Amino acid sequence: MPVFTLLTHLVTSASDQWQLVAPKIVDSYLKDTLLLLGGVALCTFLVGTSAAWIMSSYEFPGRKYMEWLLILPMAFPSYMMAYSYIGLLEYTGPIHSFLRNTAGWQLSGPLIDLMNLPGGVFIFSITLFPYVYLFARTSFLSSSKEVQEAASLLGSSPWRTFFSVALPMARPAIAGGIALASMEVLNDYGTVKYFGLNTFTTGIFRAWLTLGDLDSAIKLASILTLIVLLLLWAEYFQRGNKRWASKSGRTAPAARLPLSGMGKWSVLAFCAAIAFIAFVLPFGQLVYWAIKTAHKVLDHTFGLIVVKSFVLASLSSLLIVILAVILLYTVRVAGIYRMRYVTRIASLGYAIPGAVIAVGIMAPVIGFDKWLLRITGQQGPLLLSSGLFMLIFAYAVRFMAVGYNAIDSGFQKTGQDVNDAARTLGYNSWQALWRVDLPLIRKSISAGLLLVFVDVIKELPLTLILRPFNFHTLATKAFDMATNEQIAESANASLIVILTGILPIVLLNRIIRNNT
Amino acid sequence: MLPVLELRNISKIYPGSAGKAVSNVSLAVDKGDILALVGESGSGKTTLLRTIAGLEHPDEGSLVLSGNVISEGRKSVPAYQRNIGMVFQDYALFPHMTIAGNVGFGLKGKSASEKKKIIEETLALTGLDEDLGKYPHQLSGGQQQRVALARALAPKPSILLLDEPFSNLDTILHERVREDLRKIVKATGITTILVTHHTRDALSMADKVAVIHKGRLLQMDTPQAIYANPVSGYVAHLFGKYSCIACSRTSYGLETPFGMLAAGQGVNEAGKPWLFCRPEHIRILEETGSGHAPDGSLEGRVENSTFLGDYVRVVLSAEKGGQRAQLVLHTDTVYPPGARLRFSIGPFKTVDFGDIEKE
Repeated sequence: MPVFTLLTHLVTSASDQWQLVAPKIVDSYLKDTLLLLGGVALCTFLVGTSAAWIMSSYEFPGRKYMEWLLILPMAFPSYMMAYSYIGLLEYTGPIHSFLRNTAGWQLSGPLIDLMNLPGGVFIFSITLFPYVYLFARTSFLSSSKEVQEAASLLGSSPWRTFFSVALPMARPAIAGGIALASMEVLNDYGTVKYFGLNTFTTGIFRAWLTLGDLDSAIKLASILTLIVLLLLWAEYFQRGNKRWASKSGRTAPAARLPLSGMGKWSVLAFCAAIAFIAFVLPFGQLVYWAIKTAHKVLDHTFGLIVVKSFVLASLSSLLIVILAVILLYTVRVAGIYRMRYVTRIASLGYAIPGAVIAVGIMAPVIGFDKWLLRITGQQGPLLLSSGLFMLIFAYAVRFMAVGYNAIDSGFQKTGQDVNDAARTLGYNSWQALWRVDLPLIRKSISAGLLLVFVDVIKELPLTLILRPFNFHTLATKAFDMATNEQIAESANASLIVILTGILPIVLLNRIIRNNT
Repeated sequence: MLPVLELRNISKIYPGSAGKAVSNVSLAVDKGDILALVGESGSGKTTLLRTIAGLEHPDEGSLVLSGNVISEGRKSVPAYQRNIGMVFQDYALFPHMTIAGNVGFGLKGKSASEKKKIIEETLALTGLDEDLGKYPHQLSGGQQQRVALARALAPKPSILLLDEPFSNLDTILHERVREDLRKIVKATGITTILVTHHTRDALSMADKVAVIHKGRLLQMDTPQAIYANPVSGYVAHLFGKYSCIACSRTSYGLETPFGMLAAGQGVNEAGKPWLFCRPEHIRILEETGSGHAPDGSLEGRVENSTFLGDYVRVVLSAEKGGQRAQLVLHTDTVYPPGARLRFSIGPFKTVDFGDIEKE
């Protein structure tokens, strides 16, 4: 629905303001957005792929810990990473102080100015490279080792084997990872706002929250949607019919090559450096701040925010998972074979930036509310658009794919036979779902609940636009404090969000390891 | 003539597993020969093949290829410098490359026209008549195998390794490919080692057969010799049904529960008196109604007979002096259980299998 709303607006009339400013702002938004996307794509590719290759082909001391540390940055919403790094690098920050006081350097002004486009690329890259890393690693681990051995027997050196066989075969996976990272970049509001970058997302916010110009916001959102659709299409097109899954089950991962001497330590240093920069350092900074400011921040109001965030996230994830189960089960029982399209449509929501969904939902819901007021003749607050309803609905749109995919994989693994068996034994299809399928997919259900829960906790732009007046979640609170120059105070909220985010990562890594 | 490949006391141990995957295997392959490594799954035959390829490193022993030591102790030539061709069980074709790209992959440092010529020649040799621009997933299983074979042969390797070359083919294709494969390999004159658990493939394709069991080399010989003169009950069993009957030596020959066998034909003086024969060596003379066979002929009672299409398997039993014995034979008639048959045994021998009492 939101996508449809936006696409219709793209071709309909434009407001005067829009006509006036359009060429100029679209130009600058487009430039910043594309530069940011390109930079992040390149950096996540380089870091993610090289780390994945090292992890899947070499054995060295501490590899198991590195495996973990390299995914943990995913728990960081990029805006929280940004706050942490600004703090780390500012004049009173630990690095600066160390260089001045201990190393005795004469320094004035900030060490490295991150508040610009390269800074944005840096922040996004260190938070989002795990997407590429995870996808590439799975691909390297699951692609048949025989293929690499075949190359080797045909006289191909390890380097040539990597570039001419392993890398091209992992290309679809790597491209998928980069596409996900790109969508996260387009979704982000906190970082780009903080760094003063002019992307489409900031544009939408400026148009809606500052100028109150819904029409311009919609126009910007439509263009952003087009970019996303283009990305999706590119990803789908390049993958095309290249499904290179190995036919047989003989895909035992190639034995990791034990490294010795220099190789061992340089590989370890490389991975440790990534882990340090992308997780340990910023996480440490947040912990330090949180401890320092805990007495100021942790009060009754803060506790209320924590409770409200968790309740909101629980409600949303429950709603999404229930919807996903019903949707998927109906499709299964009815035996509709156009599943692929359903999946495609459902997964679209995750690709669409939160700000776009917010705008796309707000327009029709407010319209509906006004119509409701008119026919009931009541005076009073807008019914749907002022409460939490719109927010939860928006979460459902945006995160349906997360729950859907989790439940779908559960159903796929269970298979249709047990359900058929139950129905031949005299259960109707809903009884069969309750008695047979649900207990069998309970792991998938918990995984779906957890993943959606964490996504809702982290979500910022959607919440900022659609939340009721003065309603705060942990994410919006952290954002508010940070933008009001209370970075240190924001660390408490950030830390809770990040720690919640680590949970599903543990789960995810275990699933990947079990599958390979 | 020097052998092309020589394995000297090769052993391979996987950490954490009991026993050796390959244990002290020594063998030599002559130029142009096809050697089949036969064994059950988990016997270590594939490990041995991968060790030759350089994909596994032996813990002990050395490998000599064309007179050069390619592996000894901890030192070994890496797989990509050995010039060994291998066709993998699942073919391991590069999915992102065309047929031409796959076959040409090992032809480094050759000009484009040279490459093209070799690719076309090799594909013609393997009998693949397809558009070179096609991708592996557009080919059938049999065609993929031909591409894999062409890819392995194109760089003119000094030895060709085939890992379970027939496991992914259906029954009808299986036999045709087996014949074709032997023709192709013989046409190139390349020394070949293949791994298979189908003993029929080994017997029909190979010049020499090596039986691997629990990492050890039990026997290596020509297919005929292995079939007729197995060194143990295990080897005998691997290559088909057989009968092994306890008997005693008398002045006439061998006394079995089925009757007396005249001495002379296959009686091994040194061997313990166990009679070994294959089912097809037993010929049925007639169906008798009576109880006792005249002296000098063999007779038994039909336990069961199973129709198997191209032959009928009959199990005969006999009892004498409290000793029961069974014989398996192949014939073309289904006999009712209880019928009594008179038969003769063609080639047989007495054996001393340490590992088996009777089958």
